[in-house]
Amino acid sequence: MYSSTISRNHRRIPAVIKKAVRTFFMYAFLILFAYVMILPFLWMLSTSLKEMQDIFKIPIQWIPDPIVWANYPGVFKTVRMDLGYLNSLEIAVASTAGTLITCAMAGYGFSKLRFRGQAPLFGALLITMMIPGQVTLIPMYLIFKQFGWINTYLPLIIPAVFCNAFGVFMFRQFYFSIPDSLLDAAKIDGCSPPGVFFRIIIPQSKGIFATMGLFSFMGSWNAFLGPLIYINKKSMQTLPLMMASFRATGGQSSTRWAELMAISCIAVVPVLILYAATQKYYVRSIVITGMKN
Amino acid sequence: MAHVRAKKSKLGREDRIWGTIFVVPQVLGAATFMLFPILFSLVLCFAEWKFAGNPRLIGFANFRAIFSSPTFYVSLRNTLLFVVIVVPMTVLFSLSFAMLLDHKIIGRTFFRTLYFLPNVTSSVAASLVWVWIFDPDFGMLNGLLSRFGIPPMQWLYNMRMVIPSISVVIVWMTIGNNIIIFLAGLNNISQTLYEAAEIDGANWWQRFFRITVPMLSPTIFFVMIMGFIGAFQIFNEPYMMTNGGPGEASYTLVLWLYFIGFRYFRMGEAAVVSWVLFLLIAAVTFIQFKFQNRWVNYDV
Repeated sequence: MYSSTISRNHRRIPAVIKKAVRTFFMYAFLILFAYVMILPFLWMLSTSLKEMQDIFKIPIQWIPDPIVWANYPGVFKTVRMDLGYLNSLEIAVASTAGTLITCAMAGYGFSKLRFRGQAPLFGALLITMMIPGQVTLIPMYLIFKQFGWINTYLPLIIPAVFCNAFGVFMFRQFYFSIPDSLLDAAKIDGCSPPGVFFRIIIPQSKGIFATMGLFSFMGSWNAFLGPLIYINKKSMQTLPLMMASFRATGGQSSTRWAELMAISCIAVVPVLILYAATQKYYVRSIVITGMKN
Repeated sequence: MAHVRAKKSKLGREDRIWGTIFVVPQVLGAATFMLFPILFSLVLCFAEWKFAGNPRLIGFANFRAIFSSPTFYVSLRNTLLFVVIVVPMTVLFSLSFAMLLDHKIIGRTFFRTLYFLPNVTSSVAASLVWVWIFDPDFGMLNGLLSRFGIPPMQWLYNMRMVIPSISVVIVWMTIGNNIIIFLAGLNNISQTLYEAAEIDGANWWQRFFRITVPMLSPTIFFVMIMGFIGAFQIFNEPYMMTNGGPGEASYTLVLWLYFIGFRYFRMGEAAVVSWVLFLLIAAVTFIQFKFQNRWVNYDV
């Protein structure tokens, strides 16, 4: 390796110890905080397998005794979870696919192509992000009522796909890191902007597609308020809505905690799978750009 | 020479046409789904509307009501406090963890998944769990502290501790997202830069501040902007954990806005609060953009 200068050689032993100490602290830090990160989730898991009276026992009973596996199939009997799963999936996939396309396009347009009014337009888009959702909630409902889109999935998909300043911002920042020289080379070879988009930008976008895809899917999957106000038919319910039905109106004592936690745990699975699947895009890979400098 | 000039302008025009086309979907969407609601809420600021029937214009009465209400200033102060705690903590922790998780350590994917779990957990469930953790009598936190001889604290029921406590939860919930963003950004930094620096004898500190931070600066900038925008709009956590309490100690602007609009049905006043909030966020974002030339590096 390149650990080269002569003056380093006679300090080699302390350097190794230094590295070991650093590695130790790295692991210690990671593990300690991982514990904090995961604790609430462990409680969720543990609660989902308990009987009602065991849930709030002090000291906390981490391993349930008895283990009530029945809560899980029980959840499927209480609500039509399979339907909920499919509905949520349908909305999430449509949203994500659409979002990736429109945001990649806009991100490319705002970062690599120059056109009149670019800066103010981007600024205007950013501004839309600063508006609290509560402001637009009711007017948007009125708009969708006019369109006749109530009780469809459209109000949950279309705004996410076509009005996503967050996505545009993220793609724009990411595309700034693609060297201009790469694009110029293609342009000199006679490539038009859409050509550049499909032949250079998109192939370089794996990481950002994974990131944005994950966020978009998660946002849609966990969305509650939107589905709450736009979906009235029980057969069209999404998972969060079904979770809400376990939260009884009687307050904390009558909430069916075990089943609520069970459904929460099940709902988490697709996102975790997606997360695991996108992990390989976060591993440092060799970027072959063909550039000498 | 004339030939080159003509070619350049042709490329420029192509860029202009396609640039516009590529951004049209998002711009059109924003115009449709944002413009009307914005205008509507702007009109609402000057009107009285209780959900049913038609709005009635009443001039500046809403503004007077809001700016003379002590709750406004409490909410404002609380919101600023949240922002000042949450944003630096979020950036600091997510960057640190992202860097740790970028190394080739054993069980890296396992750890990355663990750090992402809070994000994946439904915020209903997560908030309830944290309320339980913070419980003064039965909560895990006091239980843990008592083993070290630290007396139990009130956490969410103490007016001074409630905001820091909720901030912990918020940071806990949002780190995962930002770690992912930082990891993507870190991966974009070419390894050859680090190798060249090592050859030149740079130590870890120098490598971090001279390579990592500048190359990562667009990403850090993004995380900061989103962080501020999100922190000013904190609502879910105080709503679900303390309902703004104790008293008004954890009222945020959006929480108060929600109460005014959806509990007391004073839509006009709620609209005023939302516009104040918006102007605040816009100002902070604008300042950040103005300063970005000083430290954000877009060269590759």
